[in-house]
Order: sequence, then structure tokens, then C-alpha cells
Amino acid sequence: MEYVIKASGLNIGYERDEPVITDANMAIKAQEFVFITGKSGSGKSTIIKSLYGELLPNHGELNVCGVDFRNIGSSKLNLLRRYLGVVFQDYKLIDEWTVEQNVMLPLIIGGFSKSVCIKQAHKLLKHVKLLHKINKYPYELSGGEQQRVAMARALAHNPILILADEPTGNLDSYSSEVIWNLLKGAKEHLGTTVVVVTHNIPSTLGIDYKHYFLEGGVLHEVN
Amino acid sequence: MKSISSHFSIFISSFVLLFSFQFTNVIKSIVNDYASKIVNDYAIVVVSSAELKEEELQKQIPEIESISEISSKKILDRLKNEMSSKNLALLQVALPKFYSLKLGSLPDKKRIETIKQKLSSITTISRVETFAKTHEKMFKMFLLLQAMVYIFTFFVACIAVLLILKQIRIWIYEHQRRMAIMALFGASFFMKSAMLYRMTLVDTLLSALCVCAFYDIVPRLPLAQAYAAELDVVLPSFNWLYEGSVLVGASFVFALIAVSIVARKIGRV
Repeated sequence: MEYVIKASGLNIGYERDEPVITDANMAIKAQEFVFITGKSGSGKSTIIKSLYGELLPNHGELNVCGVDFRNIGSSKLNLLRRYLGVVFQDYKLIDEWTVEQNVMLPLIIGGFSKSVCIKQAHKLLKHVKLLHKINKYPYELSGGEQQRVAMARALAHNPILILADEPTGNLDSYSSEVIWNLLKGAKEHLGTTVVVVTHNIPSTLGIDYKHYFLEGGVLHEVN
Repeated sequence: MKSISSHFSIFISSFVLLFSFQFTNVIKSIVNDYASKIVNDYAIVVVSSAELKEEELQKQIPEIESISEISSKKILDRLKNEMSSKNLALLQVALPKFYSLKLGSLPDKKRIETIKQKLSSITTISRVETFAKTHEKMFKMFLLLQAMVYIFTFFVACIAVLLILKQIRIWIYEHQRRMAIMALFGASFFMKSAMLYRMTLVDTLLSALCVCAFYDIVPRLPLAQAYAAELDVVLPSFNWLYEGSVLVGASFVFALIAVSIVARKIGRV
């Protein structure tokens, strides 16, 4: 698999509305770190949503981790999602589950044993410096802490591809730094491909990256 | 507290549904039992100039369980002092035969009329007495009772279903977010819905067991038995193996259908 993501002529939109993305072309190789930037409302989140199958393209070709999105069924989509780590701007943590259970979610879905789930959750929570809040519920945490839990959850099952939608959008500088370091570490140490949608590319990241800019529904690669 | 009330609403609606279902069974059993008692006391009297054979009559009227001849000895004994023995002997020869016909089941008015017609069409039979009016009154009362129970059960079941639908709406609201998040990480339909299935199965199973216990204990209470004896009915004892498994099975099916509706609806949201 040369490309983790390959898209050509993508046209994506919400039901009954005009398409938000009219022409998106992407070719992302394994272990690449990719930024997608653009103005508010330009359709950055729409692109991310299409990459994990929440929105399916109207036209065009899309292949993620070797899975062709043409006529994709729910079982194939479920299987693909088990290889992805997704970080959402609004965290999407399960309120009635503890921090530990939330981090264990992709491992439980992946069918790992309870001991493996617990061990991995503890390791990652230690990494995001939240091991002491293991039994807390999401509503007991600050926004920055919730996003660190979401980050630990996205990394828990060693995904092939991490998709992050404005992961530091509402965070303080400390939490933002933790998130960027984790994403950088995932690429460098685990060989994970990372696609981040953001307003601003951090100047202190210190790694090579690919940059796409979204404007007027068209995705341009920035050299 | 919120969680307990959510469990309670499923438990109550399932309990009501199963309770009314079992209630119709109990009433049916009591009515059948009473009907068999009536049928034992009920007979059609037939006057015939010749001897009637049971097998031949049964061929024409399958409801007939047995026939027995009503002895005329008592009447003849009463006339013994008033008549000469010669005349008595003549009367004995000329007297027709009286038969009592027992039926296997309690027929309705229409069926009794048919039986009467069939019997009357036999040339040797000169008179048929069905006592239809007495019998019909009793029978209609039973039919009315049974119909009332079925109507009552229908309305109770409707209320129970409405309660379940209400709870389903609450569940859609409560679990939609969690299931949507699980779906984003690739959880299958059953994995997403496992919690709902578990919750409902436990609630409905508990309600089924409570219904079983109720119908097992109540008929054995002295007060219930005394009341039943007064009405001359027998309260059926609860069969844990058959009725218990039907109730538990029904509760399981009910739970699976309810949760599947919720989960599918959430899947579409």
C-alpha cells in the first residue's frame, strides 16, 4: 500500500445542500504528517469526516488504508474505522464512562483482552499525564484534559492513520503542546500517518510535513 | 434515581404485559374447567320407539360421548297398585324408550339446534328435549366473561406497549450519543447495542419471574382457595416448566424486539 490516502476529484456535501468540497485531490503516503488548513467554513472538517466515512463523497474516488469508498458497506466501514484514530474538536468522550474506559474503547472494539486494554490505557494515560484521573468522568475534567484523554484514546490501538479535527482549537498552551508532541511522537516512533485539520500550523513542531490549503471548495497542495 | 426509574418503566410495562397474557390463560382454564363441569351435568333426553345404538348415533353426531337408557321401572312401580298386572305388562311393551345423551363438549345454541335436527330426523325418535334455554344462558355468560377478559387484556397490552414506546424514546435520547461515538471507532451493531440488550433482558426477565411467582403463590393462598370454592371454580396451579418457560421466552422475545427497534432507530438518527 503506497498511499494511505488517495483521493481524486472528490465532491462532498451535505444532503440537499450545495457541495462544500467540489474538487479535492490528495495523495498521502505512509508516515507522512499532513496539515489541511483553510478559513472557517471552508470545509476542513467536511474533508476529515469523509476520510472516516461519516460523510460519503458524491463523486470522485477515495481510498483510505486500501479501502475503496465506492459502494462501501457498513461492515467494511466498521472494519476500516478500527484502524483509524480520530480526534475531534469537541472530544466526543462518553460521559457515563470513566477516563480509563474511554481510552479503552477502541481496544474493546478491537477485541483485546481486558488485561491488555487496562495495561495500554494506563500506559497512554501516563503519557498524557492523566494517570491520576483514571477513575474520573469526562465532565470532571477541564477541556484540555478531555482532549488529552481523546488523544490517548486515538492512540490506544496503534492506528495506521490518525485524523485530527482542530485538536488544539480550544486548548491552553500546555495542553496544545502535549497534543502536538503526541502527534509528532506517533509519526516518529510508531510510523503512524497523521492528518490534522487546523487554523494555524505550530511554528515549533520541528518535523517535515505536507500542507494542503482549502479554498472555495478546492484543495490545493502548498509547496 | 434516573437509572432506577428507567429500569422500572420497562419492568412495569413488561410485567403488565406478561401478567395480562397469563391472566387470559388462567381465565381460559377456569372457563374450560367450568364448561366441562356443565357438560357433565348436561344431557339431551331422547324418546325413541326402538333401541338406539351408541356407535350409530356417534357416526352421525360426533359430539355424543355416551348414551344411557333412562329406566322406566320407577314409573311402572308407581302404577303397580293402580293397574292390573296384565295391563302393566302391556304398558311396559308399549312404553317408548327414554335415553340420556351425554356430550363431549359444550356446544353453542346453533350446534344444539343441529344436533336436535339430526336426532329428530331419525324415524324411531319421537321427541328430543335439549334444555337449550338453561344451557344457553350459562354458556353465554361464560362467553361474555371470556370476551371481557380478552378486551381487558387488549387494552392493558396497548397501555403496556405505549409505556414501552415512551421508554424507547427516552433511550433514543439517552444512548444516541454513546452509540454514535462507538460507531465512529468501528463498533458493530450488536456491540453498540449490547448495553441496551443487557439492561432490557434483565428487566424483562425479572418481570417474568415476578409474574411466575405471582401465579404460583396466589392460587395457593387459603383466601383465594376459599373464594374459588365459593364460586365452584378450580384455580389452576402454575406449571413452572411449561407456563414458566412460555413467560420467560415471551419476555426475551419482547426485550429483543424492543431493543432492536431502539437500536435501529438510533442507527438511522
